[in-house]
Amino acid sequence: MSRKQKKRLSTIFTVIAVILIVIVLDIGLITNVLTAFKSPFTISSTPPKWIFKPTLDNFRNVLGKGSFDFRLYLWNSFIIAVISSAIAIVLTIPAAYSIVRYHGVGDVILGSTMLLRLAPALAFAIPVFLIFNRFKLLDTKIAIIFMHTLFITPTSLLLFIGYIQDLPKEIEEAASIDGANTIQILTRVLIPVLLPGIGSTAILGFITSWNEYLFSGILSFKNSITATVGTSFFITSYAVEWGNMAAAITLSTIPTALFIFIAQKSLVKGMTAGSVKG
Amino acid sequence: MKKKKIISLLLLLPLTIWLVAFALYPILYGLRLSLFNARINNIENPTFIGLQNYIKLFSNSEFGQALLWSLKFAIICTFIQMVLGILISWLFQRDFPGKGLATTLILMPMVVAPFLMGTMFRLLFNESVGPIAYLLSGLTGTTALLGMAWVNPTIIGADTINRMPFVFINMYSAMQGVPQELLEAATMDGANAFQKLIHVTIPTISAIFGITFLEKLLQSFLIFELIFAMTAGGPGTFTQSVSIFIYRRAFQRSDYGMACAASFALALILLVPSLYLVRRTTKGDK
Repeated sequence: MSRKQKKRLSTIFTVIAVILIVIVLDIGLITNVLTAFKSPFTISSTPPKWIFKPTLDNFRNVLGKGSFDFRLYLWNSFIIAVISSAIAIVLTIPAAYSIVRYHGVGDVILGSTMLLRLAPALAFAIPVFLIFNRFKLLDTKIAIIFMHTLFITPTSLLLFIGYIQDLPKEIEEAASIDGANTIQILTRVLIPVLLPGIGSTAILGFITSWNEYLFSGILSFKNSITATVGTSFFITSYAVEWGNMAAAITLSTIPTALFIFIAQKSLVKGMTAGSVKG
Repeated sequence: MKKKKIISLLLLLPLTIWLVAFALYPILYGLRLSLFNARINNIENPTFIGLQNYIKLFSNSEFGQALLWSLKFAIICTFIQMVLGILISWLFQRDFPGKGLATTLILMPMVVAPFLMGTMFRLLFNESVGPIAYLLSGLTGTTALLGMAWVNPTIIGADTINRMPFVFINMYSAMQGVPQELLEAATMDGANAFQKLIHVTIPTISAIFGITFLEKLLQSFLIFELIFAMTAGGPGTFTQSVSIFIYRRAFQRSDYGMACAASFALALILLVPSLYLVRRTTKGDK
């Protein structure tokens, strides 16, 4: 066999293996989307139908004024995710700047934030539930925002430390010779050059908040329910509305799935920030 | 110089306030609560019982079983996912048509919330209507994939789909950094692709390999959302991970004192590996 043939064979083998891997990893998501377009009758047929007449009924049920206000849940998720990631950015940019340029106490804060990332979430969940109950904050968006912000800060801090380390110190030095104080350096010099980084950190924070279940779940029971939590409501003690549930899951996965298509590079950077340097 | 110090502290202040208010204070409050008999009816005025909760916890075999289940789950999942992640990223070291799209599709399950993944699999693995359960019944001989006999492998499979992409992307990024000359030298010496992986690539990325391994292990040990959505720890307590145990104690039996004791016992068990991991990961930042 010639070298060229050998190479071609190896490429064919690779492509087949990759197709199989992709099918195994994504078959759940694909089947779920298919189920969302099935009528209850089609769902309960055995063997399962892979080709059928699609219906939008499930999406109509989920988004219409049914027994649950899923539109409200989607809206809550959106608001909570946007505000939490915005606050996390405001908290971590100055902290990252202090850690990179001054060290000292900053290193302790960095260590604690990293420890927070690994700590069992339930150790916070129980006291937080009781504390927010005492302050009459249960079932408010603000309670969930407080906690989501907390859990976004570790990644956000790590990312900003990386971005600020990559910046040449000369820009700041020039500004400080011109008489700018630290606040001015931060807002006028640093923020503009950090904008792309702020964008990807915001996306990552959004996803973290959107996907969070434990705190959104225990801190809400009616008004501040998020989409991720709301998908489980289609399972009741009487019946499971499979089609509606599949539609609700599909709707709740769309925002995060979109991000992996449009912002894959920055997502990967953020998600590997804890372990891969560079 | 003094002024600089003050500025550095002021910059840290907002984040520190957040950490104190929503992490440190709850932890201390929970630590205190673990020494009380605190239930839903006496939460305003709990009774101090010293270390009773901890004693009860460790004499109760349910907690031990939950710890053991989590440990087994963590070891098996981490092993499977590290091996698959490394093999797939190794496959991705060569060029082939459609590589960009394939990478995106492999990463896709990683951005889906574990809870949504779990709810989804609860439907797809359902005994009577689940299409995936039907497809797999040829292999397993039954569609009851969430029953006693198959529930553990099913959960491990679901977690692998959800979390293996994380290992893949870590390993893939690391392998990009392996110097080409090293691989070429090995080729000259007559090493085949697999030998190069074992003797050149893996030793070169051993630092990131170690960090990913430990992080994966800790994450799997604490698994909650995926299982909570798929089986809620059932049938019975058959898939009760330690996080599910604590959740049930706190939010289903309203035994807050005991649940806090369990979560602190857990945090203590994990403290040493966590601190080690934090030291490893922050060292590179200085």
